[in-house]
Amino acid sequence: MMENENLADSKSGSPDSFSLPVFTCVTLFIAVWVTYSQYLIFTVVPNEVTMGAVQRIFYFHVGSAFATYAATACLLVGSLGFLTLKSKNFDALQLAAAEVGLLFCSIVLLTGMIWAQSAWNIAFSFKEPRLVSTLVLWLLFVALVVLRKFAARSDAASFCAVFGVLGAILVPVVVYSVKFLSPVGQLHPVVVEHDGLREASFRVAFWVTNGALVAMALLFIWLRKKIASLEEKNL
Amino acid sequence: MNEIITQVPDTFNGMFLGYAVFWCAIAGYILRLGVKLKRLEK
Repeated sequence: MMENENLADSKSGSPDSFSLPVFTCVTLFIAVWVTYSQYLIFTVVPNEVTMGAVQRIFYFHVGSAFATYAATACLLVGSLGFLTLKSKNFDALQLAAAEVGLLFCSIVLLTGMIWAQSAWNIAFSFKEPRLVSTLVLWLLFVALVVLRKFAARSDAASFCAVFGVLGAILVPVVVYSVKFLSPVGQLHPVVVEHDGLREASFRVAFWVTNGALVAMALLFIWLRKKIASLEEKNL
Repeated sequence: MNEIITQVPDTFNGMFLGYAVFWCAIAGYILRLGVKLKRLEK
């Protein structure tokens, strides 16, 4: 059980420290939180009248988008930290954030396409600013992961840090693209700002799911960062 | 007699597909992390 020894090898005060009991408690707490969010989505929230059952995708589609933004925030911290301090800890953080960002951004795109196919009868439109900007963000995450895999180790960290800052700049573009561009011809809804969640159960399920998925993304980043640090040590 | 009947469209397949994609992606990533940990163990 070398990994357990490694994982439990906590040096208090070290940024690399990792406590197995704390990790287990946090994981259990998040697992219960995610399960509760699924219970709300599938048993408490009523069917939406115009779209029916498929509208329930909304909860984990938007939650995954929030998780992507959280991963991008970690990516920005890791990238800036690495560019300024050249610390391996920040390098591990940006690696972890890029992978988790790619995971959740892929979920956003795929669930969005499935929902769009039902609601708009078209899976993807290049005329939609939010869809296109999210696709660009996804491509950036892909570039980061591919760079890590194939570039020389010494170059990859610096290139990825620069790409990471670019990714963080893209997030406001994704968020505000639907607001700043002309609404004529746009299909993507702006639900929360337009007071679209009037029923209390919709709002509760929405925020509980958002919180659960952001917490899950941060947990994945934490664990992936630890694995990256251990891999670096074992080299 | 003036009962309003609202017909909700049957979009269960779309919901099921979206849900399956979500959990397959999450499970796949957890599995990947597990494989990486196993490799570290060796």
